[in-house]
Order: sequence, then C-alpha cells, then structure tokens
Amino acid sequence: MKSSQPPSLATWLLEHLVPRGGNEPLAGDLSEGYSQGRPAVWYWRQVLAAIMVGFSKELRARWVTLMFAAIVSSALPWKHIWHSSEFQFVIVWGTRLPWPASLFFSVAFLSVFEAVVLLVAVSVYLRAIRSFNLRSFLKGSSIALLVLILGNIGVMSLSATQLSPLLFYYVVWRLPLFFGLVLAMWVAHPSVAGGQATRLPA
Amino acid sequence: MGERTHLGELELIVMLALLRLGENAYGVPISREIEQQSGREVALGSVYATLERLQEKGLVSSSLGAPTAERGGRAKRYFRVTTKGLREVRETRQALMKLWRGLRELEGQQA
Repeated sequence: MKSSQPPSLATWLLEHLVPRGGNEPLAGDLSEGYSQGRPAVWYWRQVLAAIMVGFSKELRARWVTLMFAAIVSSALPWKHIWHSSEFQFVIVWGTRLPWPASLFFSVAFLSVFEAVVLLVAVSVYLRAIRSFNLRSFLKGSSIALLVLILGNIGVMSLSATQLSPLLFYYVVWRLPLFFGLVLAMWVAHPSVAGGQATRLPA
Repeated sequence: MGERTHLGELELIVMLALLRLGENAYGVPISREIEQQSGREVALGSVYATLERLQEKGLVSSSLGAPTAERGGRAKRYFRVTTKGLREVRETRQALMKLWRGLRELEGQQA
C-alpha cells in the first residue's frame, strides 16, 4: 500500500541538495503529484533530476569560481615549497614529535599554510567581483579550513602509499586547496537566485 | 527595434504550455500539459530551470500563491507570459512558418 507521505529521504535530499533557494514551489509540486497518485519511483526520479539540473545550472553559473580555484591551486609550486630548507626545517622538527602529535603537527602546519594562501585568494576574488560580506566571508573561511584539515589528513595518509610523485605533487596535494577555495568562494558569495516571484495577496 | 531573444525548443514548448493554461499555470499543470500535448515527459526540475531562464530574459513573470495542505504547506508559483514573451513567441512562430513553407517532403503527410 502506498504511503500518504512522499518518501522522506527523497524530500530531505531535495531540500538540502538542490542549490539555490526558492525550491519550495518545486517541492510542493512534487508533493501534489505524489498525492494525486504518482508512484514513489516517479517522486525519486523527479528529485534526482532536480538535483542534477540544479547542480549543472550552478556549475555553469560558477565557472569563473571553478577556474579561479583551479588556477590558484595549480599555480602553487608545492614541490619547491616542500623541498625548501625553511619548510623542511619545520616539517622535520614536527616529525620528531611522538605519534600522533607529529601527524597533528604536520596537518596543522600544512593547513595553516594553505589557509593563508586561501584567505589571500578569496579576498582578491571578492574584491575583483566587488562583493564582500564579513559574515559570509567568515562562514566560508571556516568551512574551507575544515576542508583543508580533513583534506590534509587524507594527503598525509596517502603520502605513506606508493603514489607516483607526479600524481602526488601535481594532483593529490592540490585537491584540499582547490575544494577549500571553491567552497569558501561559494559560501562567501552566494549566487543570485534565478527569477524572483512576487507573493500574491491572500 | 528591440533586441531579440531566441527561444530554444524546450523554452518554446514551455511558453506554449503557459499560454494554453492561462491563469492556472504552475509546475504540475505545466508539466502535465507538456506531457499531454507533446507526448514527452519532462522533469519538473527542468521545467523550473527553463522557467527561471525565461524569467531572467523577461519573457515570463511569476507570483507565489497561498500554501495548501495537499502540497505539504508549500506555496504554488504561478507563471504567466509577459508582453515581451508573447511577441517573442509570435516572432518564433513566423520564423518557423517561413522555414516550413514550400518543403515538398513535408507536404500532405501526417507525421
């Protein structure tokens, strides 16, 4: 027997994964379609399509952000930085600490270093597009810092594996900064929702 | 002469559905109308993305109605074609008619 309520997980995904605000009418339409006899499969299919359409639209609207993040994260000369005497001095000092303090130190050191790059890059980006809101900037930076820490734990774990140096220095090491930048810019400068609807008088 | 905004296929289909529905044009009837008239199912997410694009071009306008229990307390978003949108549909129709005219391969045949 069909439930009177649409699948709750699908509704949650619709409300949280479709970028841009103003999804209330879409969610209402799907509820209405379901209550008029459409099956749960239809509801799921519509939700997944809405998520895909929303993301592709968001990516098209944010191609400048993605390009900027890709350029900044790929321009950082990680191999040279890593092998520089100053960097090595700090890293070697950190590795002398007992485990897991050594891991925490390495992750924190890398994350702080990347956070400085990220803050400069995001500030330049926001200045270029002339959009700055301190609250959004701090929120975006906090999320980005979390991404950097988690990403660098992953990088440290992968450094123990037999990955090729090329792949490691030019791809893996740059991913935390890339995703951190994308998220920071995404949150610091929320996209303008599509067309706005006026509310009819009751 | 104003700047022309060329309509894509789905944009034109959605505009025609809006014109057919008149005052009652919101997500569910729009997608049903498209399904009934063209025989193709279009995801509501795609319909909304198209409508938002049309609204950004100034071809449609929208307004929020009152929330209803059937919709889980969510409001309907009604759409209507603007004067600019209506002119655009007419111009697209004229352009398509010109292209259609004189095609012997398509004359006297039922699709």
